[in-house]
Amino acid sequence: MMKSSSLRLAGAALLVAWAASGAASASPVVYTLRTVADGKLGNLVFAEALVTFRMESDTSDVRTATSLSPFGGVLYTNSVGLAQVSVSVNGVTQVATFEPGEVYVRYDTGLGVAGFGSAISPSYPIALDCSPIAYPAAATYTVDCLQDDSNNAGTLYALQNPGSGWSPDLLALPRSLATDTVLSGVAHTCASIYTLDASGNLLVCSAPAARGLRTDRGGFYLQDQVGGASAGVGPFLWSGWTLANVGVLQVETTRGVHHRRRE
Amino acid sequence: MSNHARRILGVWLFAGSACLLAVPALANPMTYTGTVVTTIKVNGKTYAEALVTVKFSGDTANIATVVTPQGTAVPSFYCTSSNPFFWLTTGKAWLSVESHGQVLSTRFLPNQIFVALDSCNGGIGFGSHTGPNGLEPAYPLAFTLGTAMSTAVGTGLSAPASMSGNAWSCVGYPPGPIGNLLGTSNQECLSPDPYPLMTEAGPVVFYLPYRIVPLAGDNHIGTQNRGTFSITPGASE
Repeated sequence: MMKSSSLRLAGAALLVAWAASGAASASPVVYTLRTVADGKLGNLVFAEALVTFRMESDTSDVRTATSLSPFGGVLYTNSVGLAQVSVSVNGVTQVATFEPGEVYVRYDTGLGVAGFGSAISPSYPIALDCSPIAYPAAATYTVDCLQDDSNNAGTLYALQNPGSGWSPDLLALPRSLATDTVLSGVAHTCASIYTLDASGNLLVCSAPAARGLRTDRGGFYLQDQVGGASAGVGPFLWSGWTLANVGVLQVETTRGVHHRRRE
Repeated sequence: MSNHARRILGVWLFAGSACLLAVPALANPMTYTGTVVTTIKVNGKTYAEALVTVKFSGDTANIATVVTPQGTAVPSFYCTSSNPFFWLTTGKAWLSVESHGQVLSTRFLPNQIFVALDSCNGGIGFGSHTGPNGLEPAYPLAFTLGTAMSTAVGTGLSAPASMSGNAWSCVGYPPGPIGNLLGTSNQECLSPDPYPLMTEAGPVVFYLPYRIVPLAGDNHIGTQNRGTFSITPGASE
């Protein structure tokens, strides 16, 4: 049998481990990502519709791993909770609930990329602040979103590259999925890879996903038909990914507000 | 690169006492909705990282070009074609603020905001009758770049559409000098605190918390706020 001192030590260790897990500060959290996208929900085919992802979870379900970036960072994910998607076309909104395990929230602080991932791809159905250029090179571009975008920035790029040149409120945003924050950037919505122009710039999503993400309204697909393919507009011919859709992932803790939750 | 575009909407600063010239059109009720996650103050209470929704319900028949008091088109330094600036001032407008599970909804008092369009340079959103010149094209909430820009120079305010882009809440837009516009004295947006918009819930102030510092030279990409804007058929109540 353990001595009483050993029991006390074991108890203390358990307490430390429990506290370190974040359970002591666990809080309900809502992840909401708003964008405009092209795709299909059940029989509804849509182009440039308002698309909103929402997942209700708890901060104690946030997991950490090593960033996919060679320069370090943390990969935060949360796959526990009720996840829904809404699609609004001409003011009419359809809401679908994902089957458990179909999507998860993801924020890679090293890459400066965030969004909703799935078993199909970590960057699908949506990833924010992905590179607009084929990476590592046009000939070897087989996976999308392995590098971030630095052109039209957003808060994701700023938080990945902190320092002078950003407003105090921006730099104060937490890099976390467990604390209130605002993560924005250009939106990639593609299960495969984008088509390329001669210079290796990404254009539009080359193919739909092999299967729909399972929801109670049927399969859900996104396939970016705008991407970087826009021709120049205005007197100075803004073009490409500066005219792409963008998105905002809002992380909001809601202690004291009751949410439905699926375990 | 972005200097050229500082002209977007900024020329409206010249139009502080602009009047309207109606464009003949068929009556077609339309609702304009913009969303952004930002910092806002309502009746003295500040909400940070809140979902802010601005909605305006009007009729496309009332979309008008902006002209000077002499009846001529408001000039655009870079857009020399016919009138590029439009607005919709007749209608009802609402504000919604969602923060930590709580929702505050209210109505703007009449003549506080209007729907704004720069169909040449590519800006779209909500302007207001406030600021040092009594007219702000990118305050409380306007969008540049993204698909918002493509739509602004395309179908404009008259056809249903959804778009996303860089979100500005800027008194004094454009903050950076461009053409014969000097920008603001420090090339930042002016403090919005002296220019509250009035709602039934009290005065409202929109902030631009996420941005490049200084904004000089970045009248397009200077904001790091992003949001959506939609045009949907029908009136809203």
